Formats: sequence, structure tokens, C-alpha cells
Amino acid sequence: MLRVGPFCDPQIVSLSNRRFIPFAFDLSNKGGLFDPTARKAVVAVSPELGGNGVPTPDVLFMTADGKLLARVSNYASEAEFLEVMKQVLTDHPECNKASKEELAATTPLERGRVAFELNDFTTAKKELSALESDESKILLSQIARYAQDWKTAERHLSDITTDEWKDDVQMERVRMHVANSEFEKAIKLADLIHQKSNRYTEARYFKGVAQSFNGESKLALATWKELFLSQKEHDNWVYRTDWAYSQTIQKEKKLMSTTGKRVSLLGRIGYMGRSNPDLVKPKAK
Amino acid sequence: MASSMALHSQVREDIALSKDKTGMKWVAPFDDATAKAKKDQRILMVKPIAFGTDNKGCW
Repeated sequence: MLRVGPFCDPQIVSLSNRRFIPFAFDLSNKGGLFDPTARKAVVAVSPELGGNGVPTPDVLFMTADGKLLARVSNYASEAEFLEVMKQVLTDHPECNKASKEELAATTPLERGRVAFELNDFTTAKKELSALESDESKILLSQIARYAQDWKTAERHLSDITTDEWKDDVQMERVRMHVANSEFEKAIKLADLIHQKSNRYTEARYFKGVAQSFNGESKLALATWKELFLSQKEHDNWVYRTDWAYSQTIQKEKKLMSTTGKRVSLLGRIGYMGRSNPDLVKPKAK
Repeated sequence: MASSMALHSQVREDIALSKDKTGMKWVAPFDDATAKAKKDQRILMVKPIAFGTDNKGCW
């Protein structure tokens, strides 16, 4: 399910919002998101979706006048999904031009932020490296995290001295500790991130991941369930939590159901097409 | 970090999908999405859902 996979990945979300028009609809007229115009346009380019018992639909990249440009599997990994997005933009540079808002970005920080959201990390680093601001250092540490260059990530985090970005620094270090198999450190640090922080759900999610890796599956499930119950709205980390929780209680890939033991915390309809990549334990160093 | 995610869509980001807080700026219905794609010179990223959405837009 994409909402628990690529569509909750921050890199994919930011690139989607900057360069694509994301649209979802239900093929069936019984669904709440049924859209007859969309169905007609999609069946015209992907006729197998026109009957009953259709296969799990791919994500389709289309022009406004209905031409199919590319497609990617519903069960693609984040990396595969990003690759298709970038390729379709490379093939269609006319749809990859800067928006008015992007053109209005005048400061290096603004330009760096835009480049970061476009996954153009070479430009982002160029814009941000000479800056003294803490936000630039957080962004640079995240770019290093994406490259799993933990030494560089820590160097940028160590340069941050103000409290304004304290939660971000702690959260980045939680991610670093998990990746480096320092699970106890990750758990302790995640607990310091306040409920009002905008990285709170991420902190609780990765606390559960660290507990899981630390052989504390029951505690991990409790952490994830507590997070789920505490949130009235479901951000990407709550969806990710739903995925991790369901995978852990099922122990192996099985069908999900809206009834019985296989129900997910979110009561999701559908199938878990693949395993949560965050639950692949890092190799001990 | 203060959210720096751009809010691009000026057209309906529909009520049915409003419960999605993953950060994706879904644009609906399809007519609005295609109009925005034309206006902004962007590619549509279309996710057809095969087996049921509820009235909150969940699937």
C-alpha cells in the first residue's frame, strides 16, 4: 500500500509536491473516491483496469491530456519509485521547470531548501555549505543521512548550538544511533523528544524500531500502539507505525484484513505488499 | 524543523482526502488535477485504487 510505503517517504512526498500533481481515486463506483472522469482516462491507457477483479493498479504518470508517460508498481520500494519519478522528469524537461515560488527564492537558504526538496542534493550542498544558520546544518545533516555518511552528519549536528533546533538534532541522532546499532542510546534519546515537537511521532516510531532491534518486540509494539492511540491525525510516521506494528504481529507477510487478528491499527483494507524497510536490522559494527 | 513543504495547490484538495496527513498534496477531483497540471506544466501522478475507499479517503 503506497500510503504506508513510498507515499509516506519524505523525499518522495517533497518531490511529488514540487514537480507532480498527485491524484488518487477509486476505480469502483462503490468507493468514496470514485471519479468517473478519472476512470475513463485511466482505462483508456491501462485497459486491464476496466473490468472486474482487476490487478493491483500501478501508479501512472500521465499528461493532462491523457497520455501515459510511465508507470511504477504499487509495491515498488522508495528507491525504485524515486528513480521512476526522476526519469520521467528527465524525459520531460518541459514539466520540470521551476515554479514562480521557486524562482522567487533569493537567499542561499531558500534556494538550498528548494533544492533539498527536489532531491537535488548537489545544488543543495552548494547553496547551504557556506551558511552559518542552524537550519542549513540540519538540512546538510539530513543529506548526509540519506547517503549514510554518519561522520559528516554528526559534524553538521555538532555545529548547532541554539535550542531552537534541539529536537531536530536529537532526532537526527536517534536515526544515527539506530543505523549504527546503538539501540539503547536511540531509545533514551527518543524519550527526550517532547510530545509537542514536530518530530515527536518520528521519535516514537524509531524508539519502537530500536526496541524491536534490541530484542524487545513487546515493548516495541506497546510504543507503537501508544503512539497510534495518542494521535488524532495520522501523519506519515503513524502510517509507518501501522506498517511496522502489523508486520511485527504477523511475523511474516500475510494478507491484512479489516477483521480478526490480522487487522492493522488503522483498520486498513488491503495487503501488505512488501516488508517495512525500516525493520531490516542494520549489520552490527 | 519547521515544515518547509510547499503548498502548491490552490484548487480543491478534496474533503474526502483531508484525513491524509502524510504531507502529499493530493488534488481532486480529476478535472481539477488535470486543470492544475496544464496550468502549472506538471505531470499527473495517478494512483488508481482497486478495492474500496471509505468516506475519509482511506484505502
